[in-house]
Amino acid sequence: MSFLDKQHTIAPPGYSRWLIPPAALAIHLCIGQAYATSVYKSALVAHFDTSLTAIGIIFSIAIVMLGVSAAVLGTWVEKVGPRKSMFTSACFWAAGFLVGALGIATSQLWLVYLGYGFIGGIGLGIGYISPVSTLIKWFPDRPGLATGMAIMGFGGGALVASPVSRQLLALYDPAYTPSDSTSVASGGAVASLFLTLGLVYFAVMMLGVFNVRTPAPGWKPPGWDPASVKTKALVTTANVSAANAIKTPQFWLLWVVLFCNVTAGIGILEQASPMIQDFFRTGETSLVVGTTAAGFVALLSLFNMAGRFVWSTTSDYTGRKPIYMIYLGVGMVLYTLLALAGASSTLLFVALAAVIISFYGGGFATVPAYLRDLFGTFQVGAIHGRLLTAWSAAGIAGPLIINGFLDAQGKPGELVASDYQPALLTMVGVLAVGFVANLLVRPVASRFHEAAAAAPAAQEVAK
Amino acid sequence: MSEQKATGSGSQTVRLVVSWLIVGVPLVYGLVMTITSVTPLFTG
Repeated sequence: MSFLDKQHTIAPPGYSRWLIPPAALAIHLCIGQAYATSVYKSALVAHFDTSLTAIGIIFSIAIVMLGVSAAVLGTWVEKVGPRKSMFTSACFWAAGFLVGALGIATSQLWLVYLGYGFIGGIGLGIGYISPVSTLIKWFPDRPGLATGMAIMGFGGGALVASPVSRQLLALYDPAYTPSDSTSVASGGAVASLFLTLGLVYFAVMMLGVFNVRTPAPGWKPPGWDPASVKTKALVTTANVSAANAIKTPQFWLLWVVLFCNVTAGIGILEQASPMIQDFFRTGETSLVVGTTAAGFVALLSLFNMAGRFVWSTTSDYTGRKPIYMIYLGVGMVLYTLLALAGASSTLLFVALAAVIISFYGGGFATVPAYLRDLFGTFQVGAIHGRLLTAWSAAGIAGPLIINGFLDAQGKPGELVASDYQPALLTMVGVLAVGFVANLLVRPVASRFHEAAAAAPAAQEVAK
Repeated sequence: MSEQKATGSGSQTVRLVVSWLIVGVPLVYGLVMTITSVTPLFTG
């Protein structure tokens, strides 16, 4: 298995750096399936004869494990390099599906928790961070574009997995009708789906494993002058280790920024379908019917994905701090408009929500480049892994805030626009906290920098 | 990409095309399916 070793992944002269984004996409498109679990949720509820909450725990375990494994294993990912970490991610992600399939086939829910949730969640965490550091090293001139492409793949993974899963379920259970939202597939069909996804995802992720390379030491894009980064105030040419990074205020300010941005986005994503129906409700009926609401949810998925690529790429020109001022500052304005004027027009409501969600996606995709600017490339993957704990925390806080406020008003799907105002205006406050945190970001103090020769030397040792 | 053009072989071009197709085709399929499901929002 020496093929997987870091020293065997150094690119030969002339290796195209444009092979690295598809390698990263091969990983992120597969693990992005995590956001397509709603396709078979009701089938699992019926199969296990349990509650939606008990099935929802599968996804919650996976997201918690994503944050934990990215934080704990980030340094290991940096040490062994992208190929071994991508391979490990593929093994965990595929094994998660296979163990999950066994759990469904034998009607043992705990095996699905263990498989998809725990084992698959580790694959999610390793897979999410494994290509990031490599992409940044190949694209020092366009780090936002590079990480935007990969992290766009995570958003796109659900867009691919949802329709494919519906078609596969129909293939495995002829009684299931994908176009009928009340149709529920059999447990056996979901087990077969898990088996299929596990095998196919493993094969696609191997494309990433075979294609990924790290640039040779000293490599730089032709025509690019490393000195050009020195002209930007927040962009460092020094390096900070992951252990030191978490001792800096900048890391924790960015943690707050990511936490606030994700929490606010979840505020809409969590209740998107009932929210649009409630906003345009008069009495018992809503102007927005179920299929239209489903179209709204799909539109948000598109803007979530597009925002990851477009905004992250834009940040290469604007700088990272200014673009987060837009995500958070303009986000505050849009959230306020949504709360106070969103009910005046469906077009206005949809437009506001779509831009807010594009900022949510952009926040995810731009943060690795922001970390590179502040901490250098030395252990940026490991630092990114530690920062993703903000995502896990927001995954708990976001739904708690929005559901807490809405529960006090009644039941989503039976509310009116004004019932959403306390929750939405609270999100404006959350974004304001993130805005201030971003404003406070300054260059990292030189005492945290690695000695000039130490970083490259440490990288050699790590090989 | 000029550096790759200068030194890249034909096999690398094939590899680039195949690699982008493997990830690009599913992504485009997912986009088309999602755009299709967005339609009722503007017609419904």
